[in-house]
Amino acid sequence: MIVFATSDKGGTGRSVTSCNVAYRRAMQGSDVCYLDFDFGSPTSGAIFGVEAAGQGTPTGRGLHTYLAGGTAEAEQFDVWTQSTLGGGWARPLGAGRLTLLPGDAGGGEFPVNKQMIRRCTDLFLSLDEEFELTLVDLSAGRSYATELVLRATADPVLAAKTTRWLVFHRWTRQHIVAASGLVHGTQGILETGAEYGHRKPDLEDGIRFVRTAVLEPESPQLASLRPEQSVWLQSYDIDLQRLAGKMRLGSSLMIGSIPLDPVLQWREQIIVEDDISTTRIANAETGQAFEALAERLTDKSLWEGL
Amino acid sequence: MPASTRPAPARARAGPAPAENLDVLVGEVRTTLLQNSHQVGADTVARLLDLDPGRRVLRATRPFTYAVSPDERVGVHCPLPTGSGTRADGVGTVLARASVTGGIILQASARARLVRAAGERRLPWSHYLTNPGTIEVGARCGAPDLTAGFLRDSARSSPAAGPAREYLDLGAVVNRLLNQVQRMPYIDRVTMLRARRTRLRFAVTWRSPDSGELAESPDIELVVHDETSRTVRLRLPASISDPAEAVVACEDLALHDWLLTTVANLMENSRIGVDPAAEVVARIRPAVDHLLHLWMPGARVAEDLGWMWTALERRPGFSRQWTSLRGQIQNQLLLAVLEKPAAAPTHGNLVFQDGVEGISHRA
Amino acid sequence: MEPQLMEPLPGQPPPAVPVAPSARAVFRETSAAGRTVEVPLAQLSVELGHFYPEDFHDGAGALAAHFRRIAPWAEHSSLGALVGAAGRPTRVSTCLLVDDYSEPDTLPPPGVVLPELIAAAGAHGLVIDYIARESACVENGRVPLARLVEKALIPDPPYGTNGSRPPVHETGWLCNGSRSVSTAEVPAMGGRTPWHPPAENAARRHSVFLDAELWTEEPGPEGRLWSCSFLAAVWQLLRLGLLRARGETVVNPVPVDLTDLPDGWADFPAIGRMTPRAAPFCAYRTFSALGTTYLPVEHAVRVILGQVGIDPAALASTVRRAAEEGLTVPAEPADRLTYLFLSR
Repeated sequence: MIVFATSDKGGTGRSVTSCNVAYRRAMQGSDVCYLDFDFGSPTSGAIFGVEAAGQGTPTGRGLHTYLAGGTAEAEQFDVWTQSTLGGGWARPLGAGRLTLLPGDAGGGEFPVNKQMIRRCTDLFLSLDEEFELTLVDLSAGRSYATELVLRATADPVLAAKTTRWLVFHRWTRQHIVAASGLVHGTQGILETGAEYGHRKPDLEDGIRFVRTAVLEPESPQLASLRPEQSVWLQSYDIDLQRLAGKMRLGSSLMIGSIPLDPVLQWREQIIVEDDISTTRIANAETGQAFEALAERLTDKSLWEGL
Repeated sequence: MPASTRPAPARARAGPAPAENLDVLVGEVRTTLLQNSHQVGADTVARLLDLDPGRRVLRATRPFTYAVSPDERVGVHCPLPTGSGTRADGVGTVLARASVTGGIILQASARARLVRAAGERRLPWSHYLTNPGTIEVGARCGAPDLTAGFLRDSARSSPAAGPAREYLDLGAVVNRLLNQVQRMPYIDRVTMLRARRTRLRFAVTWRSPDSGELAESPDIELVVHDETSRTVRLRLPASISDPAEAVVACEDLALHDWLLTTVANLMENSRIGVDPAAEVVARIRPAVDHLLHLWMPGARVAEDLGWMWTALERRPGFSRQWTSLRGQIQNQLLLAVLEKPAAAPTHGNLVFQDGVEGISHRA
Repeated sequence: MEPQLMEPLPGQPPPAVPVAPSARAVFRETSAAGRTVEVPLAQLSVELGHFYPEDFHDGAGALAAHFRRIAPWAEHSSLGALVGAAGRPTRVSTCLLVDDYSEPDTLPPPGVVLPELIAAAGAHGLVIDYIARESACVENGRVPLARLVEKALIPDPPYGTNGSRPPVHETGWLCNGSRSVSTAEVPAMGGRTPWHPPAENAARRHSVFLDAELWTEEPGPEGRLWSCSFLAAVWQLLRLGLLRARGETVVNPVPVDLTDLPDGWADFPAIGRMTPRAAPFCAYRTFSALGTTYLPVEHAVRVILGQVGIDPAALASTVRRAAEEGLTVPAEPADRLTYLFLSR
């Protein structure tokens, strides 16, 4: 299965959530690889704590170079052995592989051409031979990265592969409108995808939304609010629900909701059990949200056509 | 073209030797699972491997179905890695081919013989084309230096700072060939079993006939570097003259090493003793269905290279490990039969829909 | 060094491991062994010309003028010397190529062209053994020859070619070195590579760089219009007897009855045999008498021939059979070509 993570705007916490989902999924026993297609800002190495590829790999064998045809094979890092987070992790018993394919240090966005699509499909196909889950983190918005994967997944050679999309957005009016536009709007994912040969309904069936940095009105974090604030918040939340429904990203299409967690606002990182139970810098709810999202990626009942 | 139509003549080495002769066969084999939901028939295999309209796919049916594509020829002119770091440039062609064994295991291999260039300057390209599969080496470095450089695991040992020099990259040639076959229209690309591509690099040299009693004693050195990377160093007596046989032997070794690696990995990740045997069996079933019967070490290897497998069976004992894995699988099958009534109601048959779907449900 | 040493060797005798030395089984599967057929070979193939539709619009006089000028060069005695068989009887076949490919509509039918050619040649003592149509170099009725030769190209690698990138096939061009501008994509805000001149591989100090167009895209079932240079390269390979399709010959001359010529070129054989007792069409070496306008085309032909991977068995068989006749044949196909370029 190939999962694409995208968002209309930057700052949604898309990358950090994707990394955490990949980590959780590997912990659950799947072999997972994470592809950094955030070409303008390849920083997933830093989130995973893989210092050799913190801001992309300096060896000239990252995804930018691979897609441009400059190297035959994109460099892979085994996160379990290469990460320095928490003093380095050994691969936990029962966990699957967790492999990072970083971009190139200093790499930028680039226009898409035919050969690049071919390389991209080759990459997806060969990773799918060995990984149960290929998670591709795309640049925000209507990017070359999105164009590239839409064109690649339209190639019949990938027809047998399940592809799914996660669209990340924050729980604000602007983000809801923008996320809807990215999917349904002019030159959005559906319209562009159809141009490249996707069947619109199939593509749409594979898209779900993830809300990030969410403050649930009943959250203990809001216990100190004045009553007026509470009332306003509740009613505004209902407005947003309504808006989301109208913009076609209502709760039936929402597959995850990640609570606001201070630690992620300050430092983009993998949240491990230690951060929750030992040092207690992270909230248990955050961990649970990642865990649930990781499981829901392959829960067929949540991905049936609506 | 099989060598059988033209018996291999005495090697160039046997002629009047210039100061320092060179004859090293280097190559790389990568092995993976053909991306199809079931094993494919002989005719489909032949179409998959029909990569050149001008030439034939060669096929055999005994002792298992096997087919090999015509050789692809790739021109190269680049630095060759050396153990000492001495600069050595080579010009010539690499031969690469893809093969499918048992309708299910896909291999690609690339190889080239490194020989000494006659002179310093590069000759017209047509000269190199008359000798496909040969790379002429301009530098004075010797066989041990080139062998050491080639077998070093360059992907890992290259200095982290800066891009590595653009050394001869047989792995890329081989990978491209695998990708080319995997995207053919005749297969459905439904993955029956997640398996990693393994790579085996090999270097073969021949002992000079005048190296005394050593001359006739072959040896093999197999190194397992990590989960997917292996190297093989073969030293052959001058009497085993056909490099093609050595390539076949290395492909055969890579195939069986892949079988071992894949089945062992599968067993390791199947939660034996944790989950009910029926679930374990569901996970290992693709191996039972498609892989177990393919274990026939040495079946395609020429008789005069038969010692290779004999030596490897002594140490590390490939077949011993295989037998033990088979035993483990049989035990699980047996247990699944015994446990059957108890396990069914709680776990249902959700588990083995598809590799991914299953795992999230097993808790 | 034997080229075939590296060829595959499947279908080996079975189990090597447990077999006792005394019990040797011989086992072979025919589908597991490749084979390459031999073709009949003359010693020299002489091309008397390459004719375009307009050559037949200028009347018999123009054709006669052409044959008159080359006749002295096509005499048996001088041809013998070309193959190193002076003073001995030589097997020479003559041929010519009619262009029915680039502008098929303007070419008069075989019933007009053939008698004219034969008469004009005969007037100067020249016998035409074989007449081929150029479209047969694309597809000879059974085998897509042009695609087959294109697939056999092994591009001349500039320094730094290490196998990591596929050779640039898609573009439909083939050159003899490295081009001046790299086509590799540059990422946004990435550095630009400065211009550098093109360079010929293995140049002697200075380059003669040549970039030959192999084909252009065209609507239609073939999707391609093959270039004159590329088809001329296929033509030379046919004459040298070096092409095989899955090990079988692709040269099958068909006897032509001059009294019963087809109405259209499509019904004319790929290679028509005009004289019953002609020497074989293929030969160890070729000799072509052409106008100087063909000089750049033939330069491209040589660049292409220098990058075609020939079936090693076919290549070896020509060398061996020539040696059996006491003749030497160069190992490289392009070295087997001799030209006479005629000024206007």
